[in-house]
Amino acid sequence: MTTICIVILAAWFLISALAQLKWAPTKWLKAHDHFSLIPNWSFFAPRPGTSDYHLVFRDTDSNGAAGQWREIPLADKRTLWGAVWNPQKRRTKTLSDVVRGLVILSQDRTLRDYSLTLPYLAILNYISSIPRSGPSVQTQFMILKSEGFYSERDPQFLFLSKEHRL
Amino acid sequence: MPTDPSPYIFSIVLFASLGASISTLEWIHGRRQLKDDGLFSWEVIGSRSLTVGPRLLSTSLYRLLSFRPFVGILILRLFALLLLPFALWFGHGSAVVLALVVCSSLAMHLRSPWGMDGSDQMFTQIFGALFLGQLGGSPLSYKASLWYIAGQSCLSYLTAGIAKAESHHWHGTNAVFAVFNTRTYGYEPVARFLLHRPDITRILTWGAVIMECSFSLALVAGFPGCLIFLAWGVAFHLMNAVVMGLNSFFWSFVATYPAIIYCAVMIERAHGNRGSASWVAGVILLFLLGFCARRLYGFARKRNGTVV
Repeated sequence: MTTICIVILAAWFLISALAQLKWAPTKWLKAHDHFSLIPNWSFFAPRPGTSDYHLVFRDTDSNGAAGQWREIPLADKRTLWGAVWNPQKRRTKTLSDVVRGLVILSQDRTLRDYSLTLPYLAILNYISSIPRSGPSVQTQFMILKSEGFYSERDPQFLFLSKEHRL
Repeated sequence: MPTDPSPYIFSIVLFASLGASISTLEWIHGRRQLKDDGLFSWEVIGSRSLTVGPRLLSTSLYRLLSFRPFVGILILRLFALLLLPFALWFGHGSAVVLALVVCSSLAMHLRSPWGMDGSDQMFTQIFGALFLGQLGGSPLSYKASLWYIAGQSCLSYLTAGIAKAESHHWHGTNAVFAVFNTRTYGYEPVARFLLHRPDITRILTWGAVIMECSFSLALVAGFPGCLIFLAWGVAFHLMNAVVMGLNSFFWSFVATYPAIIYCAVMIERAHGNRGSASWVAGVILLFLLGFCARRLYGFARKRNGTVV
């Protein structure tokens, strides 16, 4: 049993090391690695995350009048206690991941219908579940990009969804 | 320093269990997002091609990973993590408890195609290696698990360091400022402090790159030489926890440090305490590794048209 375990550990390490180089065989393995057994250690590289994404949505009432755009905050205010206990980071990371995933998909010209992709459905499902006070019948979301606290540029438009019945 | 792997394994388990417990509690605290109207809705995530294959598979995954069963898995994981140090201390059932932790880690990765980060990956590596070590059940397999954890830790820093050094996005002077300036990973007071201080930003940027690239020298620095690198690592992850909110990274990466101390001690012993010779050998080895990695990166980039 010892030998088997050592062989598995050695093979696991070798595959992990080769995967960092993104060689074709390890890329195939990584694409089928649903358990994240092969790590990706290139944190914040090659492109550091220097942009903030903004997710906004608006509803349309039964008369067809569109309401104001409302922003869903993707990031929370940092606190010192957050260095110990930070349950919000999972939601923040998830929203950032799905928004970034949809932005990447939206640049894929071969894709005909983004509304059937997983990130799109996840965002739509999340927005649709937000409690409404008024009688909304449809909703639509938009993604914008900005460059942080100290930036001279206005937020850039990235993506506009279709209107979906609530 | 002791050469018996047991105290090092116990230290790793303490750190990793504590960190993973906090992370699991955070999951349980935010369990609303696992419901069908949440961000981790199984109605959406379960529509992946992987999970809608054969009826038996999709039914089994639904029974395992939909809201209630998955919260049950998280609670079971929390109990297993809290039990693990005691199981290891008393020498009973640690392989079974580790198996539970590893299985729950795999379920979490399968359940969450997004929202998982580098600390979750490192926890999987640590608990997976410890499980295989305990499964082997011999001093040799315990040692192998320590070498594996130390190797993954060094590989993670080296990869992150080289990827930054290779990237033209990091060659500018303001990469650290640009990250700290975001609402997602930054902190407004720190961004304000760095706004008109490009020299400090440059030092922070290249300091991080150089230390990540050279972190593996800890293995050949002997004891207490390796503590210099580990102290930098602790400070680095502490800063990331405070400024970037990456609290789990602190626990998962610092949990690997006892393995690095063990390997540094063993390498030093193997060289008959010739510390300086180890240093020279290590520097040359790292230089060669860096050179090879750089060439391989270039090769991989040419072949695939991508950069890691």
